[in-house]
Amino acid sequence: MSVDQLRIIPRKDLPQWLDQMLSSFTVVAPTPQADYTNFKVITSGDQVDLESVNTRMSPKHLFFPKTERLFGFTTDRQQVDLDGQREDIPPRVLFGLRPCDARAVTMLDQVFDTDIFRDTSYVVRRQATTIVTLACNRLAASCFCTRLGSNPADTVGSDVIIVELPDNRLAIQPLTSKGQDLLKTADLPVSATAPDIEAFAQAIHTAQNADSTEPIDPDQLARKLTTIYESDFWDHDHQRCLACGTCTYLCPTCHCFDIADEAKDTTGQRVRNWDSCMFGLFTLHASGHNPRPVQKHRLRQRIMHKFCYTIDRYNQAFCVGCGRCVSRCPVNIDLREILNQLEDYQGG
Amino acid sequence: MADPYLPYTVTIRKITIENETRDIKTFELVFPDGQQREQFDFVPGQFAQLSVFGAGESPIGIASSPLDADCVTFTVKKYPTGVVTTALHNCEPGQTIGLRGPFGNHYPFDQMAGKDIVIVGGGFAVTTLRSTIRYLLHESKRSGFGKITFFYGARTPGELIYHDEISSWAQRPDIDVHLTVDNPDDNWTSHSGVVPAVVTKIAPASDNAIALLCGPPIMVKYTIPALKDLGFPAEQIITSLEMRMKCGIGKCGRCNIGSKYVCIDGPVFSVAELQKLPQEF
Repeated sequence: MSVDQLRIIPRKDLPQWLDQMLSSFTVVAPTPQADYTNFKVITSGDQVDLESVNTRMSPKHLFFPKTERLFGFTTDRQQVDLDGQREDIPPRVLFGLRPCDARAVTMLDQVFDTDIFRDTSYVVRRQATTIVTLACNRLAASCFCTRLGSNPADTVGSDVIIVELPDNRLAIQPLTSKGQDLLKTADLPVSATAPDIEAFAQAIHTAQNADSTEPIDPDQLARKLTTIYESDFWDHDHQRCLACGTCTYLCPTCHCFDIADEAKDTTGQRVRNWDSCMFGLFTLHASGHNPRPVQKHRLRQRIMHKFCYTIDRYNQAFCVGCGRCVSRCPVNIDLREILNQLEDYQGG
Repeated sequence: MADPYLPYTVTIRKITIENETRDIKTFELVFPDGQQREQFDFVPGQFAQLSVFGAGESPIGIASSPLDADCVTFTVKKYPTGVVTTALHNCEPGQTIGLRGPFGNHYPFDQMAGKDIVIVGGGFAVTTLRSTIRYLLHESKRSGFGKITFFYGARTPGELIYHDEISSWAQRPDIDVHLTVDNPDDNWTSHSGVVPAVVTKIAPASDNAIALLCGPPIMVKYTIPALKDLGFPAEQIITSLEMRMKCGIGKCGRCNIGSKYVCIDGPVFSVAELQKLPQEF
């Protein structure tokens, strides 16, 4: 990593820097809600809360909204008028993501930003966004990014990475041309001294090595999942699964959606909404046939999709170890335990 | 950037009721703009998303041939729980609906070239096979393929769709047509019994031949071994799958079988390909 553009600011000056950004960008950052934080548009730099490790919801809704109008229509049977005009997305900064969430965005890119059938509204949102990531200097109890081959200072998906130095200062490093542009607009003096650069490298090193768990071997796991598809491995966890879909809605990489029409009289709109493979209706045919009729099949689909099918298709597991599904599952289904059990499983 | 979710608006030119039960209708759709028909460039086996604005979208196989220059045809069965299929059945000629596509892969015409072709259809799933046969029988295409044998079955004579067209094929020297019904009536003169039994009885040669198979799951399940017994290897038995879909473009995550999406990797698969996938369809 080239550090010639490293900026150093005292932590207490962060709100002023965000205010500077606000004059040119919409800024979305973690803000306090009840006893948690979520990504919201801020109007002042002092609204940002960077204390909690992860927000309750992942930031995926900023690229892939929970519900989104695809187009509007007016119809009188003979004549139909379509209005494909999409929401205008002004330049924005997504500030204070954790490295896991930034990495997850690169996975969504593989699904939506494709050569053919490029998903227009996703790409427009993505292009308008500069991602400023904050490396983690402590881990939540549910964090397991290192199991997925990542680490608390991973820069994948980030345009700028911020690392907290031990003396209450922040080291700010642009990583892409978008990141450099941000630092031109919301300018900070290039002030890093040689000891600062050393402190930055040390902080990154410390974060990268904060957790020593052994990463999964994605290819080996994918091969194993293929061989145990019909085994008794799947006979247990589904029994307590409530099919609530919380894991899929909180997951920063889950991207399944439904398309539906909403209409009243002669006008309406076609929308897409988040959907979940945990639901029985997800695969139900109009004929009544359902390829995944019971919850066992659906939980298996979610694990297979993340740790086998995406490895076949995109060459990586679609899990970043953010831990949201672990901490919010109402019946304590723990994906970390499932991964451990998978690695240990000897049946077939 | 073209928006993949924005449909063409097309007009229903003609609606034909295809069966005695009156729950299968064929819709002839025309584009208001001839250029759009040219853009809608498809190969038999592909599907499209039909939509009635206000009701929603449904993936339906294309039933006309790409060489039918003036219109695109879809045959739709109405299900009591099917919101879009019911709305489509309530449409009248002249009405405007949405069309998005074409999507998916198609029957392997490169692989079929010069070979004898055995086509096996059942019920209303014969739609993309009808597209294929119209295409193969076209005077500009027919000489590129060998003998064509077509098996088609339904429960009763009244449930056979495309009745007049298939009768006209039966008069042609360049295609063998074998119709069968599970329950014949007094006027029925062709085969009776289930499709796989008729395939076994007629026993089309498997040398330098390829079989296309599309029908209800139970028919497909028993016709595959019948074709294998005749010497067709799994690589030479081609079938087409249905799956609940929304986007049609490999994003909404709904129609996967293992790591394959039926919408972009299918709907056409060889039996050899399907044997490698989880049996979850």
